[in-house]
Amino acid sequence: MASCTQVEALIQAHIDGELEASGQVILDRHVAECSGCAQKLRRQQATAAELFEVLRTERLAQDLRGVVLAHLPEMEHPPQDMTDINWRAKHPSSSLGRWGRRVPAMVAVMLILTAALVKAYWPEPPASAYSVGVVLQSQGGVTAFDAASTERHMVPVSKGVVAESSYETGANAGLMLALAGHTHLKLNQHSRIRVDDERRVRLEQGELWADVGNDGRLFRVTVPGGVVTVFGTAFAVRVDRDATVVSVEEGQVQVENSQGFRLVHQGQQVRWAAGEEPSAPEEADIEQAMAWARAIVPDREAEEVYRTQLATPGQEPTQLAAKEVFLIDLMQGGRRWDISALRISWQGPLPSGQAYSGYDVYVYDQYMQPVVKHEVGGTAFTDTREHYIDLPLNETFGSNTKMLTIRLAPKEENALPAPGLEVSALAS
Amino acid sequence: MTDDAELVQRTIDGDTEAYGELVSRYQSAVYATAYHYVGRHGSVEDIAQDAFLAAYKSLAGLKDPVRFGPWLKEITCRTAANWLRRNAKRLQNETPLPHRREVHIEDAREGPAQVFERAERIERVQRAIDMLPEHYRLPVVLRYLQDLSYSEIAQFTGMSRDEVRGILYRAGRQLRQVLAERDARDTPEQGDVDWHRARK
Repeated sequence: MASCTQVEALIQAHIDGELEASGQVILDRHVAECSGCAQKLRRQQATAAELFEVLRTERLAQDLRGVVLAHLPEMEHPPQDMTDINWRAKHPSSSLGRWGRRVPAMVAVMLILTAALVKAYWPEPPASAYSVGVVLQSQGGVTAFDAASTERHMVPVSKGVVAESSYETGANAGLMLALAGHTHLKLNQHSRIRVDDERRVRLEQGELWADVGNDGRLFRVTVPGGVVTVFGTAFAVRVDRDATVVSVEEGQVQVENSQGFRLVHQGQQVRWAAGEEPSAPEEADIEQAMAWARAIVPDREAEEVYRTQLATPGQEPTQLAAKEVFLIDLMQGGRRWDISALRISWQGPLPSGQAYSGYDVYVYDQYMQPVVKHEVGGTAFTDTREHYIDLPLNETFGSNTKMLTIRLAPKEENALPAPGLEVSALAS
Repeated sequence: MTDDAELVQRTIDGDTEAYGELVSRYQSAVYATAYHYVGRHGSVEDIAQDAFLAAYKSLAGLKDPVRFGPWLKEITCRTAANWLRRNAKRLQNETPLPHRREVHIEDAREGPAQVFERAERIERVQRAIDMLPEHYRLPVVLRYLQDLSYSEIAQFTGMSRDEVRGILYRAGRQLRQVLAERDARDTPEQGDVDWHRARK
């Protein structure tokens, strides 16, 4: 006869009507002779019955089919392949369509010619480089160079922006870029940025204005000794010799350096000098701080190239991919909970060998004042046989703290997120 | 039965009835997922509806139509999380159940005592579910709220049927113990919630 342990594992499937015939025979025979398992079966049936009965009143009460079909929005089609952006960008008024349709052989010839031209006049881009945007405006002396070469070239309007390329503006110059994901960047004179990809740029010197579209991913501006993380917003960053200043026109950004982090809201400004933590956000004349950016306006043709090639239409602006924001109500159930740790859990255990994205875990109170930051490395998910990690919260919160906001910012946007990521609180 | 991938393709090609079929197929799962996130206080049906509309909007971007279920699950989670974020403030100010509970039509036949008692029982079951490990909870809600089969749960969550079976077995055992313990003690509020779920 099967052991009680083996049989116990069959009980739930039996109750759910999901037990295969062979298992059913084993269960029936065992239960007929074992009063212990018969009792377990009855109890488990009673539990299932209670769950079904209690939750029955909460069930879906209407058919959603009709109401959904009556409100269908327009379907969005994913952006086209970006590989031809450089061609189109360099030939904004090209008659490729007319010629191209005529003779396929002609297309081949033209492509070869283009390849030869590119080879002759442009430095070879690195294998990983891909188009992430379009130059919307280029005034005065603007030069660019990419990772494979330090040879500078002038930047024409409508040219594609390749990942891992840098731009530098001279005196009285200005540059405007549009990046995939509805992001616009403007660079003031005497400034230098490097575009790592469409969601990461580094401001090495000077002044950058950014209007960041939300496509579910974070946007980061790295500056010397700090990083600005953006949740869908318009803001400006200025790197002076002695300080970095971040001004927020719309939305909110998080600024961070090795000394601390701050959330900066609309109309506010923070600054920090090397080795100092970011100042408390202060109301400031944002309009004035951004005046230079108003003077840079996009070239129409270049905008059209961007719109047709890289823009994804009609995305609902949100502040942050919401799966990364968690709220913990410390006043649940009519009492106040003291929290000793945060638990990051996932659907695990996960197989080792798979790389997952690590996370920066920012904890704020209900007034969005910073509480503490933790880091969870990508390997933490596979290093444990558990399906969670606990992060201690040593801070004692004042009795005014009624809610914690937890933001998880993936360190590596392109790595896999751990499945079913959740945050819970451990009461002390 | 037509498989999901074909219905997805037909929808992209303009056949809205094919999408209607997907809605019929997944509405229980989507509703239960929304319920799992926002609980009884939320507009669960509205969230489910919004999730289907959001999924339709970006359907052409779905890379692997065979995995429509898990993809829809992600969208539902996101939609519910967005709703929670928008309503966090309002929920803060709401008195917990049962005092503010909406009275449904079927409740009208019951007196206030029964309504109160039923709300208590729902809270009790909800607390027991909240004590389960996180990744057990959604399968449990899918099973007991909407009576989904193991295959339907697997199809929606992306787990294998055997994983679903294993989870529901372990969850069932734990729920039995927790609910039985609660029956044994007469003080359900004291010390039985050692950690509880962050609202997402």
